[in-house]
Amino acid sequence: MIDVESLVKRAEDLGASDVRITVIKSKRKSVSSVGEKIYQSNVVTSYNIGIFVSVGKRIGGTSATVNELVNVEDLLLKAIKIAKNSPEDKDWPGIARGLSKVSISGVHDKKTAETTIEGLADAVMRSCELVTSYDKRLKPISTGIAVIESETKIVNSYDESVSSAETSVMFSASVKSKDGIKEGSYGEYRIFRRIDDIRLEDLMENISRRALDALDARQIGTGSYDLVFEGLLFSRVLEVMLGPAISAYNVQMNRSPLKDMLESEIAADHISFVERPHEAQYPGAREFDSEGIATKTFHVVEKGVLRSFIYDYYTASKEGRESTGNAWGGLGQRTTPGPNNIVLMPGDATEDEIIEETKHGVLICTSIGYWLSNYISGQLNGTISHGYLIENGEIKHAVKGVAFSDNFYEVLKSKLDLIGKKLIPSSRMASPMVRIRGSTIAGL
Amino acid sequence: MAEIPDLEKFLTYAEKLGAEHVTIRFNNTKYELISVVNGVVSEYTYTDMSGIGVSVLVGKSPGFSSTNSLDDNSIKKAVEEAVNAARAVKGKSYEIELADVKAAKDKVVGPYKVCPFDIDEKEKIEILMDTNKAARELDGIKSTTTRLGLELDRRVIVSNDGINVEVTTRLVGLSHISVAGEAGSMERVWDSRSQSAGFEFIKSQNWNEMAMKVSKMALELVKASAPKAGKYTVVLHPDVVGLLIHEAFGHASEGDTVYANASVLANRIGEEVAAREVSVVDEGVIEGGYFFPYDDEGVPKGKTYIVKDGKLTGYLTSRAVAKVLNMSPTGNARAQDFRNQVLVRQTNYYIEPGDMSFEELLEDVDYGIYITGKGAGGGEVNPAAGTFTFGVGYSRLIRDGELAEPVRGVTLTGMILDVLKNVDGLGKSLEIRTSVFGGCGKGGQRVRVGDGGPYVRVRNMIVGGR
Repeated sequence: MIDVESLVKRAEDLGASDVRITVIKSKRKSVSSVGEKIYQSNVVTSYNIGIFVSVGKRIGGTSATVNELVNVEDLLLKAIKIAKNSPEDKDWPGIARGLSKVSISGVHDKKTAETTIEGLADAVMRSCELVTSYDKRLKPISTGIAVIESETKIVNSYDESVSSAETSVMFSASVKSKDGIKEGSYGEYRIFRRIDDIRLEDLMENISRRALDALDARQIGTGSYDLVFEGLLFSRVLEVMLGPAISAYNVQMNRSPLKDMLESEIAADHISFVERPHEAQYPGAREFDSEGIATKTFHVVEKGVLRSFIYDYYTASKEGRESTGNAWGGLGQRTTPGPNNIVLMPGDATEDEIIEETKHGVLICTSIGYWLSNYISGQLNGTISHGYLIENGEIKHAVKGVAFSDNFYEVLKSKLDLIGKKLIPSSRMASPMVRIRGSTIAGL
Repeated sequence: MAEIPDLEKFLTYAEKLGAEHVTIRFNNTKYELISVVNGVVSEYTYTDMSGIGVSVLVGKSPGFSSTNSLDDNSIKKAVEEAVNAARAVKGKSYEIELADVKAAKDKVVGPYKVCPFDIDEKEKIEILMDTNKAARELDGIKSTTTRLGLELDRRVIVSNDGINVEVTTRLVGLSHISVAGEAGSMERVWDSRSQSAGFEFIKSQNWNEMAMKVSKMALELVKASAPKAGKYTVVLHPDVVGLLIHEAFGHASEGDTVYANASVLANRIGEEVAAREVSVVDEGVIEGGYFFPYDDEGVPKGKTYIVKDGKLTGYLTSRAVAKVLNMSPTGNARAQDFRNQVLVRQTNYYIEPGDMSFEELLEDVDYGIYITGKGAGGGEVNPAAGTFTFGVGYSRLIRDGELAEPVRGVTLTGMILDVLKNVDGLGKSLEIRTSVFGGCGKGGQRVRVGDGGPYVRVRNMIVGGR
């Protein structure tokens, strides 16, 4: 065990102006299947340390696994040497001060932490049974469940420290369908806080039904379509497009188109985005950020108006304001701001109503390559791996292998016209189903 | 180099606990990343990760455990946890058998002259500051980011069937991004070069010239429009051919995906899956690629043909996958690090060259797109659905066989079983690339890979645009 507090003092003795030390211990248990049998059962234990120092206005960082091969004092000396050899950053405000946290009930779930390999194996086998019993044309491709328990402690040179314990659960499943010469597949990947949050029956029924629908999946013609994004996918799109655009670091580095747009309308007035990091059921909920600063609830966009960027200690200091508790960064790394759990506030339409009101469109359930979209230019694109053609308010047939594209900032301003009621979280954002008018599909 | 524990004695311990097969992998990765943004060192981080992973078969059931604590008690505990995990899934798991291999005993160090971790911090920072500054000298450039990545990866693999292999690989590279802005429009372009080598590679390159070129392309692109969405004939630079073949074909040829019935290439050995002139190879050691002489099971990685003269000839395999597919192990069992169990992964995946010049490839194209690969953002595939996509960055229209104006926002989409059949021209030269900044993701693990090919012309490619 490392005496972190003593290490902080040692850093100062060795010439660091200030230091932040982070230690993370974690245990991950996972079971995965291929077909109808288990293929892997894994137990992974980790103990890691990160050291981030400043020497005046120069910075350096190191990180390592804690074991017999690593001398922690050498690691500290290396961080100091890096800092001493780096040029000054005139804006460097020093290591973040004011460490604190907002206690969130439920971010650590004892039952999840104590889940055994046997328990995970039973859940994996059950999900396989649910597929094969749903329809004889279906076979499971793979299923994986992992439970992770982690403890994080951050200590700085100002006699401040914070610590937290969390659990999370990762679930993935994919299913193949075959009917004569026709073949299809469907898969999902989800993150939960607690093992009991996985509703296995509902999840596997949805995956199985869509795998059957995929038997009739085909490409559609090139043209203009309304795009209906399911909440899970659109929350992932927001992570790629909105997350970096509202990062104060990207704004300050002149690489966000939202620079100089504070208090301006960047979206239609029925669109609001709120940072809500204190609701344990969301995977992005956390008590403090990667610098140890307490997370906060606040409006990023309110009725279409950009109210705030998201800040870490450095970017906030540059503008003479407080961090919003959005620092993200690896061990021993300088942080940059990112969303914790930013939510596109729900509207009042049901998912059925959104589809019924769409005359010529595509319901997009899963996409590959959406993460290649470019927040700097606003180019939003992806390839539909599972979707449905909508004609006159009715689902017609499954769609795959066509590309969608639009400009994200135009989407926010004038094309995103319907927002559903039910929030679905990804890892750091959450969104209901949405409809975008008149986007381009490249297909046949 | 730090001393690692004597792993062999823990093989015996695992056998005593009931394991009929044991592999123990030690892994130490040192990584240094330096970033300069707009003339300021925004990050300089050194990482040193080490630990062991224990894979066992107990009554043919699989178990895996990992720890970064390297004292005897911790390693013993890891062995016990692996054995217990295997017992916990007995009756629910496959009865896994491994294909026989000749037990390799070898110690290999990848090519390098100057270890990148012996270079003074100031010298590294100076190269980055110079490059970053060169890129900012053009009007209209709003932001520049330059990064230097240095890696040393050491792996020791021992098994109770006699394998004892150690591989050390160094990988270095530099990447640069420029953002241009004009009249409310912004665009970015990036480029990078990496090599399995020492710091001599970093010193041998003209990085300022690369960064200037990137800035010029960003300035051109910010004024460009997106092409109209639809189907095009495209001519691909080797950098993009690498992405294409890796995403559009490579993942679907991974034997674990094939065995899981999750690949459209399953049960197609001997079938025509590409134009007759197309051959596709996965090779462990090749100029320009990632140095990978042995996989993480200690199996030699040689040259594997996946497609020969248009026909599917094989899949990539690990020992377990080779056994169930009744094939030979190809040396493609790879784990990101000691914390992960092996999966079947590509190494250096490429299309073999043909005999056409670049000009000849353009000549027959009345209206198409030349994809340069500068700013290519990567790609993704769904091997079960048979679809793939990748973003390709800076591109130029082709009109009447000649290069015309630049276009932006280009993404390519296609179907795995169609794309290689639509190849109708291969260039003469072979170019392979790797990267110290990224790699290939699968099952939550990222590994370094290489990919490439010659210039390639493909008909009927779906291009996402406006």
